[in-house]
Formats: sequence, structure tokens, C-alpha cells
Amino acid sequence: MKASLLVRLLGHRRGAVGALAVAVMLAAGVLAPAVAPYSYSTQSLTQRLQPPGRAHWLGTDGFGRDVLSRVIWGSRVSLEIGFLATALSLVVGSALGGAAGYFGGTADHAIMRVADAFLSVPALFLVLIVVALFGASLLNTALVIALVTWAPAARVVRGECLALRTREFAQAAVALGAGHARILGRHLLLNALPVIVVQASLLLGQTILIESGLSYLGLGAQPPLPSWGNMVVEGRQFLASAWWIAAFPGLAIFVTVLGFNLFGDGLRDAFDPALRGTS
Amino acid sequence: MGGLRSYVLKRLGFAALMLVGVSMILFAIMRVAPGGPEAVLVGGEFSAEAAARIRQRLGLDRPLALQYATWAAAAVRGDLGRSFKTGDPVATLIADRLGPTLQLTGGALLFAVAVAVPLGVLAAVRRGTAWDTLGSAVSLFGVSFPSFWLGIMLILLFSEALPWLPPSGLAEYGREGDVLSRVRHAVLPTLTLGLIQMAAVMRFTRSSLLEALRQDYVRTARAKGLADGRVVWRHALRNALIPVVTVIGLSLPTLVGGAVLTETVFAWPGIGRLAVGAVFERDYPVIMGVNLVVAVVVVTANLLTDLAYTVIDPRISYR
Repeated sequence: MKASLLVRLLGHRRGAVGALAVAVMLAAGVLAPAVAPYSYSTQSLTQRLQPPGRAHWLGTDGFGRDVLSRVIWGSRVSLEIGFLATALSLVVGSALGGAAGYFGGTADHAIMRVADAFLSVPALFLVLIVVALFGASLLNTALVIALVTWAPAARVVRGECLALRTREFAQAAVALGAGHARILGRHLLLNALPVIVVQASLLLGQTILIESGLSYLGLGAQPPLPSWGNMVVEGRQFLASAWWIAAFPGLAIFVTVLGFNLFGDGLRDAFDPALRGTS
Repeated sequence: MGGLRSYVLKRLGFAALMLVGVSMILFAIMRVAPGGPEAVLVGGEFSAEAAARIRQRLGLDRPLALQYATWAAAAVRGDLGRSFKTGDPVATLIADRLGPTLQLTGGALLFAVAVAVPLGVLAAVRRGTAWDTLGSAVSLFGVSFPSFWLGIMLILLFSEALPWLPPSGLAEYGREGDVLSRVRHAVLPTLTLGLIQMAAVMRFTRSSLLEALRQDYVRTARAKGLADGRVVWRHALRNALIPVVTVIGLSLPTLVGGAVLTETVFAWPGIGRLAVGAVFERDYPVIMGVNLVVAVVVVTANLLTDLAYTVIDPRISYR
């Protein structure tokens, strides 16, 4: 079962491309100390604003720091916040969405109205306010990003549990006298796992995008630690003379987010080939 | 008609409740956050007495509930207080910047719909062809592009490499009345925000039209010999547009969020930039005011979206 899933995923061209992009970015983040050719913070006035070349593949920035090394180190912050925020968002989204789908009725109604309210708040706005006021620590940022992204996840999980609830194995569990927690956890959420995994991949892209927007506004990792968003800001002032400073970190965000989106699409199709091309 | 009226009233009541809830939460968040506006207002070192004096002047020493009640009572009358920093009335600050933001978001939405709906239709009708591939590429890129970076790359291309368009601002200084100058300045920011917004609209148009094309009435229309174009545009698309309208409504919050970044990139004098500045300076009345106005706009737009259903599909009635 697992092997065939992998085969289907790799046979899915876009999914495989996404998996590759994600793997490269993850490797860069994990292995940053080993693979980055230079330090991310060592400044060199003689090496300022060097265009991409043999010594510095992606050029150097206004302080003479190697852009490639900073892009590699920058992946850490983005991925850490992305994974933490996604995990939090999925836990909340699955629990609430699952409960809504399973219990139905008033609980469903109440939970989904709250989700609607969260969906109608401009997310970046809210995140900006909370992070600016409470400080841009890893946990703060991840928490508040999770706060604005759990609602779509809850919606998807609810839909899935609503459908699963009527299936025979779920009915059988009820007939056998299983408790709510057991039915919801073992029978519904476990079977909704494919949907949740797909959602995780798409959410990762989204949370990384929000994080990069925050760090563009100056609320990400604090210098000299690089984050992709603040590298783009620094590059903005050199746009006319040194385009590479802003271009490459942005490209890294794009490739990572695109990778997670493609991977998510590939996973969805691999889990359920019947859905291929319908959405 | 009576059903519609009570529906609208009910929705308005709900919306008002939500506005109260959101503003209360926000009010509380700002007051429990560490550090206050006094640190920003004074700057550098200051004594505890100086801080207390400032807090007293700004009314921050009073009980939280009383502060909120005072703010809310004034807000209902259209008085949003005065900026801690400049002393200007918040309502005026917002009114001055609402126009540019509405121009930017409205233009971006128009652009997105004008391109995404036809593209979505083509992708669905010519499923599996190059149009379909183009469509899915557009929607995928749209959800994967950091909008601020897209903006900067457009500046790099169309302002730096090719000196065609201005990179920032609403118009040249002193030429705000010049329509041509305004349009030239609006192109890049509108494009940036619009391209990002296109993705969702295009994806929903496609999947919803695919769904509609499978319906019986489409087969009937085809069976009675109607031309393909007529079947798609008159029969299927009209039914497929309902989810599309929903998506446009649902994407408004993202549109506003995107405007915050786009306005920052292009130095666009809208409420997004006003809000970013206010957040960093802890200008509580401005933050509250901007959020209230944004919430009112989003809630109103959502209500209008729901009412638009009745125009597209006369079978839908609200009660």
C-alpha cells in the first residue's frame, strides 16, 4: 500500500517535481552549516555588491555577504515557522473540524460560524498586529499564523468526517458501543488522514508565504540572522544596481511554496486517482 | 420582498455583533501587549512619572472596560478618536487614504475577474489542452508567489530595466489631479495585487463550469442542437457563476491583506500603509479605526455578494 502510493506519487510528474523542490529546500535548511559556502553574517567591504560569479554564485549583498549562504540559512527560519504553524493549525483544525462533522447539529453550527468569522478577518492584518505588539518570536509568530489558518483546514476535515460518519465501519463502531473519542479519533480522523496530509502540504506553502510577508514588513527573524523576506527588503534599495540581492531570496520563497503546492496536488491524486484533474 | 428585507436585517444584526466582538478582542489584545505607546512617544529613557503622565493624558490609566465603552460610544457616532502620534482625527486620516486603497483593490479585483473568468472557461471547455495547462499554471503560480516579491520584480522589469512605468507613489508630486499620471502609477500595483488574486477565481470558474457542463440541462441544450458557444455561455456559465461569486466574496480578506504588502512595496498612500505605520508606533486609535473600517467594508461586501446570488439565480430566495 505504502509502496504503491510512492510509485503513484513519483509517476505523477508535477507531484514528483514538487517533492524534489521540497526535498532540496529541506536539505538546505537542515544541512545549512555544512552546505553554505560562506558564513551568513561575515561582512566584507571589498566584496560589496558583487554580481553572481564563480566566487559567489548568487552574488553578494550591500555588506559583502554571500547571497547564496544567506538564502540557505534563511530557509531555516521559514521552514521552522512553516512547520510549527502548520502543525498547530492542523491540530486545531482537525479537532474542531472533526468534532463538527462527527457531532453535527448545534456543535457543528457553532464551530462553523466561528470558522466563518475567522475566514472573514484579513489574516495578514491580524497577524501583523499581534506579532508587532507581542514580539516576533518563533512561537508567537507560529501561533498567530495558526490562528488565521485553522479555519479552512477545519472546513475540509469536517466535510470528510461528515461523509465518513455514514460509512459502515463507523456505524459498526457505534453499534459496538465505542465512545465518541474512539470513533472520532480511530475511525473518522484516521481515515481522514489522506485529506489531512494533503492539507498539511498546502498549508505549509501558505504559512511560509505569510511568514515571508511578515518578515518583509520587518517582523521576521532579527538581523543578522537572515530570513527570505527581510533579504528582499534589503535588496529593494539596490534594485537598480544589484538586482540579485532581492531576486534570489524571493525566488527561494516561490520555489518552496510552489514545491509544497505541487507536492500536495500530487499527494491528493496519489491518494485518490479518481480525483485527478477535477479541481 | 419581505423575506429579503428580514434576511438583510438579520444579516446586519449578525454583522454588528461580529464588529463588536472583533473590536473588543482587538482592544483587549492591544492593552495586554507588553510595552505601551509612551515608549514610542517619548523615545529613549524616561522616568516612571513621565510614563504615567502620558498614560493619563491618553486615558490609558482608566479601567479597560471604561476605555472600550468610551471608544465604542464615540465610534458609533463616527468619531474614531485622535492619533496618539500626530493628534489628527483618525476618521480624517482614514478618509484620506481610503480612496487610494479602494482604487487599488477595486482595480485589482476587476483585472483578476476580467482575466480569470474567460481563462477559467477556456480551461474547462478545452479541458486537457494547452489552455487548460495555462490555466492551471496561472492558478498554481498565483497561490505560490509572494506578492511583495512579484511587485519588486515588476518594478525591476518595468521601472529599472525598461523605464516605462513609475515604481512608487500615487502620482508625481503635485500632479495628483492628472489622470494619466495616476493611471501610470496604478499599473504596477494593480497588476501585482490582481495577478495574485486571479488564481482562486480562475480555479473556481474552471471546476464549477466543469461541474455545470455535466448537468442534464446542458445535455438537453446540446441535444436540441444549440451551438456550443451558446450552451457554454448562456446555460452552463450562468449556473457556474454562483460559486465564482462566492470565491470573489471570500477572497476579499486576502485582497485587503495583499493590499497591506502591495501598498508597502509601492509606497501607495492607502490604509494598509497607515496601519503598518500605526502598528509599529502603537498608535492604538489608528489601529482600531483602520480595523473597524476594514471590517465594515468586508462585511458589507460579503452581504452584497450574497445578494448578488439572487440576481444570478432567481431561484435563490432569502428569508
